[in-house]
Amino acid sequence: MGLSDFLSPSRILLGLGGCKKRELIGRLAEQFAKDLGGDASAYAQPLLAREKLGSTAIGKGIALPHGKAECLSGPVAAAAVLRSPVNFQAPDGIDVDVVIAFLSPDGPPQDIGRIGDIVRELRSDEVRQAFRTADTPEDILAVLGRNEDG
Amino acid sequence: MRLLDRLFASPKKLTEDDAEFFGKFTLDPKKPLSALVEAYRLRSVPQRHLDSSISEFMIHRLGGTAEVGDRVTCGDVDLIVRDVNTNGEIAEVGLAVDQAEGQAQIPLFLSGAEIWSWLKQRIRRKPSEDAQ
Repeated sequence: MGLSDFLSPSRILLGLGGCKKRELIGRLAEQFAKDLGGDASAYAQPLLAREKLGSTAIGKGIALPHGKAECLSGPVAAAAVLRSPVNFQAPDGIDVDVVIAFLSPDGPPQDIGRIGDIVRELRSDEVRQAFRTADTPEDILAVLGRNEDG
Repeated sequence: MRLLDRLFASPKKLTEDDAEFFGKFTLDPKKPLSALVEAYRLRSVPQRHLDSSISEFMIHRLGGTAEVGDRVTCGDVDLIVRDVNTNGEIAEVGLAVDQAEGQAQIPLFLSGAEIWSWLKQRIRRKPSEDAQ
């Protein structure tokens, strides 16, 4: 399974502006809640708790906030592409303009390996480019799908 | 060669390639270990360490001192020393979510620095810790 299996067009926000890190995570949590039901705080809380431990930025303008949410029955993701990059305390010092939030159900950490797989996927220049140049969420999902099949 | 350069200089700014060795994510070493265990629901972390900070846990596991590149297993993840300050305290920690990440499986392919780090970890590791 790849990132495209956890995303949906309604959970890809393009051209988001004027957000700082905390607010951005809030927006992604709202999108999870709108799409999957439940309260946005149930999605935001684990992402913010993880972020308090240290940055989830992985370099080259990408961040992957992640955590475990009790309300979920399977892993899910949401993405935001920002008009203006935001400071995510990235290890390479580059501000972040693509944020993928990944949440998995509460329980034993079987999904840790999936986080590593998503990071590897996001290291593809083609995938990063797709997030930054896409006109629609479907464009991103198409590139992710091609990349995962290849 | 770049990795060796990184080991002998402060890894303040990590490139994507360095992250393969130093872990994909960053952790604040002063944060409680219990928060890390809770965030990832980590298994097999001895209860008595849960009151420690991430740094204290790593220093304990490393036998009292830490150097850049040192790696400690913490349940289902690995913690890697990314930076040490002038007082010898751990200043930055990397989190490897894939425990094979950055570690060559065949010692023949390890760099000099990796072999040194690998040997130090094994020399310092307490048998009683392994048993838990």
